[in-house]
Order: sequence, then structure tokens, then C-alpha cells
Amino acid sequence: MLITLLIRFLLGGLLVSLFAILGDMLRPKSFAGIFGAAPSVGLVSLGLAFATKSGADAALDGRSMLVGAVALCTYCLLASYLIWRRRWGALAASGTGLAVWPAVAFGLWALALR
Amino acid sequence: MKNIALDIGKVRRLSWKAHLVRFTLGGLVTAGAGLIGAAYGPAVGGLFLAFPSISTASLSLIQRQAGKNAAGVDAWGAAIGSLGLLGFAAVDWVLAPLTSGWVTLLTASAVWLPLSFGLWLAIRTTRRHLNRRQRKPGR
Repeated sequence: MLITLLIRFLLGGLLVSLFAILGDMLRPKSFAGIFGAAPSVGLVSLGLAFATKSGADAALDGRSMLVGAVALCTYCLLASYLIWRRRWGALAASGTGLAVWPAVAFGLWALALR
Repeated sequence: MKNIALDIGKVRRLSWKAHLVRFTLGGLVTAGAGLIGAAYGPAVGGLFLAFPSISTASLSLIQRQAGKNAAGVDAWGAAIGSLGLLGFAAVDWVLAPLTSGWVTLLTASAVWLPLSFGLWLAIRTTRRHLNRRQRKPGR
């Protein structure tokens, strides 16, 4: 379990960093932002699910990831609106979005997938 | 309309602290998703595969370097990318029980990027077209 966690931490950190660096290098910013929603956590977690569990578990992960992606879209739209239109700081906007993400994710999960 | 460009020198101008923060945050989110999946099963753990790990780490950095407009626009781009992530997740959901992990994840990744790029291009083209029409009323 500890070794799996360490692998998750290292690979997840690496992929998140790589996609973030790619986003830093690209212009315009709206295109670069796409890499802010890159499937870095998904690739590592699903890869480990295939390696240590089964395709059925990975499929369940993917199904819930659909709902998580809707919540992520909500987070991003909210953060964009708060920063761009309401001139909030990025930290405050991200923090607000992080409070909204679980509400949307778990709310939709309870409605559609439970 | 600005064309897509790559500024490789940008990487060297970023501080080690910024890289470390993003690496640590990304690692913690990925490990956390694994712990939640182990405790509550893939139906709950899977939600966290779309947790905003990159955006959270990047938006403050972008604001510091390029201002609020850039951060806001970046978040808008991430919203489009998250729609592409729907495609990634859908492919995994469908293919995972049917084929190997490599095929599933490669196909899902091959769907995510073109779908995100296509949506970005479509939205951008539509907005440019609408802006042109607004500037020339009566045509």
C-alpha cells in the first residue's frame, strides 16, 4: 500500500508538473489553459487500476470521472468569472472554486450514479 | 487572432519553488485519490480523477507573472479542457472492460486533446465571428 502511494505521489506529481509546464510554454493563454484540465491524475490512477485491479474497476473510475469532469468545468468557469469579471485574486477564486467542486461532484454523483 | 505558439524559454524563467509546489500538489492529489478509492471504492474515488490539481497550482502563479486577465483566460481554457476530459472519461468507461489498459488509456488520451482543441477552436472562431458582426451592424 505504501509503495503504491509513493508511486502515485511521484508519478502524479511528475505528470501534473509536465502538463503545467507545457501550459506555461504555450500561447495564447486560453489554449494553454486546456492543459490545466489534462488527465494527469486520471492517467496515473487508471494505469494503476489496470495494473493492480481490473478493467471493471477502471471503468467504474471512468464513469465517476465523468461527473468529476463536470464539477471541474464548473470550478474553472467560476474561477474564470471571479478573476476575469469580478477581479478577485486567483487564490480567493481558486479557494471558492475548491469549495464548489465537491458540492457539484458529490451532488451529481448522488443524483446520477449512486 | 493570436496563433498558437510555444515559448520554450519560459520554463527556465520559472522558479524551482513553483515547480516544487506543483509537483507536491499534484502528487498529493493523486495519492489522495488513491486513498479515497481504496476506502470508498472506485465509484467515489473516480470523482477525484478530475480534481482541479493543475489549475489550483497554476492560477496564482499565472496571476503573479502575467496579471489577472491572463489567469482568468487560463481558467477559461481549463473549462474547455475539462469538456475534453469528459471524452477521456467516457472512452475509459466504455473501453476499460473490453481491452487492455494501454489501449484504453492511449485511446482516451487521443480523444482528450483533439476534442479539447476542437472545442477551443470552435468557440474561438464563433466569438470572432460574433465580434465582427457586432462591429458591423446592419450587414
